[in-house]
Amino acid sequence: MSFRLSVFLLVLALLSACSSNGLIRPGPTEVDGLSLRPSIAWSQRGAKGERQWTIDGPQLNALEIYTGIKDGEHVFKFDVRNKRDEGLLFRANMNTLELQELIIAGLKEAGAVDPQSQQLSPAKVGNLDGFRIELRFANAQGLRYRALGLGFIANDRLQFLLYYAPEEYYFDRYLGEVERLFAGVRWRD
Amino acid sequence: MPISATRSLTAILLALALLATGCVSTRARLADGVDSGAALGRGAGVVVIDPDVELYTLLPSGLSEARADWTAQAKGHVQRGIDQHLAASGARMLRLPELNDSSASNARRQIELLYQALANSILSAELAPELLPTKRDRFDWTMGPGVSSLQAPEEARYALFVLVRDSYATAGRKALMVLGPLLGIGARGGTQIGVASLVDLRDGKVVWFNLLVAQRGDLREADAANEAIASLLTGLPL
Amino acid sequence: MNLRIVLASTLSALLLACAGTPPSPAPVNYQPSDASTDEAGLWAQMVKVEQTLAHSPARVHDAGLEQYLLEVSCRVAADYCQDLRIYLMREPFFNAAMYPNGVMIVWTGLLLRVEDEAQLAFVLGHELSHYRHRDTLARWRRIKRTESILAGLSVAGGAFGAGLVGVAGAISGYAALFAYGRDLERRADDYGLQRLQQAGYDPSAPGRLWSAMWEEDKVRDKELLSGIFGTHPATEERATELTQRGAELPPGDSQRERYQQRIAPSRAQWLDDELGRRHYIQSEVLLNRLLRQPEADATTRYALAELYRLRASDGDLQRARAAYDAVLTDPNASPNAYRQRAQVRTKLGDRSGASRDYAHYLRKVPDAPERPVIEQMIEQLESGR
Repeated sequence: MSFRLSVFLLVLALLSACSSNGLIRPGPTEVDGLSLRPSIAWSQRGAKGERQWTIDGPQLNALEIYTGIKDGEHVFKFDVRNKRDEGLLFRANMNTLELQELIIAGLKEAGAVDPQSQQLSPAKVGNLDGFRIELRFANAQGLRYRALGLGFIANDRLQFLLYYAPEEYYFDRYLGEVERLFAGVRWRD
Repeated sequence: MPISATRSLTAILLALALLATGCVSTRARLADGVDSGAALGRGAGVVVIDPDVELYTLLPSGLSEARADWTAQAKGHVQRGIDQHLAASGARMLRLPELNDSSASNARRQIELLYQALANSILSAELAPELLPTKRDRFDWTMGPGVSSLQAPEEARYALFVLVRDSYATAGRKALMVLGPLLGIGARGGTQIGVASLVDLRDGKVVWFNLLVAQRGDLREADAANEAIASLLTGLPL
Repeated sequence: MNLRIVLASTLSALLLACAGTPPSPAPVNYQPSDASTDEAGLWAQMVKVEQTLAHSPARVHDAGLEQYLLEVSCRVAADYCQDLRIYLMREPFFNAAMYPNGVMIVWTGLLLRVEDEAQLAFVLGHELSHYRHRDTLARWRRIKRTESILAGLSVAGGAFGAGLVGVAGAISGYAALFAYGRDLERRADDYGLQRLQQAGYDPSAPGRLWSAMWEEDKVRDKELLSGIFGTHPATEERATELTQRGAELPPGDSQRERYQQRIAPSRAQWLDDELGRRHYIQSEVLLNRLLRQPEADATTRYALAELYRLRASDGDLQRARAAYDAVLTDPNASPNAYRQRAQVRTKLGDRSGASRDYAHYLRKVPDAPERPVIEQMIEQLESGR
């Protein structure tokens, strides 16, 4: 496929909005089984189980919301092409250290350069046990990013939220909002 | 996932090229609260960031090939065009000094990279506004106060970023462009793309932004380059 | 000079002649003077590539190591030494590439696999041949002549950063420029051997290196386009040829100790990157070879234990357990081995052993970033949950 044609299709994809694009207004909202309470507006795109929220565009801030990742599924729901991708697949019996390894492997595959975990700690999502992870990585050009993730396993499936933004100005800009969001997130069951 | 900034800029710029209809079109935006007659630059220093210019040959096979001589020519014209335009506005033009300290260089580099991500995001918002309803009806983009890591000269109040891409067809490709439609083959000629931003160095806010897409004008010629820059910088509130 | 070499060189030269007039070898300190040529255009792009490399997050900022690589390059480059700039990139690929403007890129996957300085010198000498003979330009001209639309090779607008530092370093962007074809590769091997000799290095080095690489590439998952070898796939034929030619030349120095000393501090990180490829069948071949070497230590044994843990095939948990046990007999073992063994013990049902290992890990690494999680795991193991 010619480069130009593929670019044109990319634009079409950008323009032909997925059905669930839209504005998320402040206040309680439900996303694929998660109840969230943003205090500012976000733009949403994506599909059930893999949403991306942003305020200024995903290169400047992004909150990715993955739900229902089942045993044998890719951590970021990419297509699995190859049995070599085992290290990128979620397994229901993974402990938190393995989930950390999984997320780092997933980020690397998605193009993040040298992703590293800064901190890993237990976290509560309502009554459910989960984990909180802080990460750093760079994009291919070298722009440094920081990330904050919250994950938990419910019904043998992984639910995982990941906020990332450039370290320069943008990560801190909405960190307070994301911390509040994470503190208040609940699972429907 | 954070896709490569350069790759997405390329994709967006080329998408614009594909969609351009053959005339010159510009789309200028002013930050909220800034008046188009603001004359911000009366006496203000403007650091002109080294223009990012690239010119290509389009080969019949569809490949593009960078042309060092064309790029050098065009870059010279673009630089002079910018200088002339700014001089007419009364703004004082400055350049970024070289940095010897590696940690200062790294900090400057992060800001330059952040600008790329920012420019991409502005372009996306302009091209596909329905995907970013949070930016609808507002133009409030910023790089944050860390823009001071550019280490611009003391007297600089604003920074002007200019990017230009252009491509020209070889004779073989021109033939294809004429005959092509007869044979049912599409072949576009080159397209000129310009992106310009004026950033306030005190707080990193993008005060003004313009996007130019054109199908004519040869940037290797001084007159055409001046015209393109004049279009690109029309409305610059200095 | 050996008759076979003479014949091979003559044949190569004839074949090259058929492919269109090749560019003449570059003089020292070369720069294209005519800015309108395609060479100048390619050169301008290379300048941009160099800027991207210099700032790339994948670049290894180890001035000492880059300096060492430059020294070795200069031993085989002779006059061309002044043209060279070395960039070391942290990616688990066995590759080195040289651009027409004097930029030499070496990947850490190469340094992990090379055993001595002579092997390194051969690879660098081989790349210098492509530079000296302007093979990249010849290749670019050949690509340009084809009428088909080559989607992968786009120099418009700079996909360089992503292409060079990502896995696609071997595939997209400029990689097509470095697939020179067998004739040019053979000429580069000739040149490499010649330079190796002139610098006094051991001529058996290339044969040993490529035999080892063939062992690894043999087991490659064929679904993968390029494995670790990028533009220089290993073949048995090449290994045999290089071994034979090396045997015909007078002996020289391998400088093994000097090389091993230089790379020892980085080995743990590069082994970790290697395992990150998740191509365990190849990694196992590599690790077994490294374990047979005199420098094999707790670091390499730890990597093997990790391989079993990550691969997690039948019997691997037990293998991992035994491998960590072996690592931990060494007083220099990384304390991470306790944490990793704890995970394996948990899976094998040895809860009390796992708990002890986690506790041991936390004592050794008081500021472990995962402390709160591990403390919780100890609690769960102790309480029988």
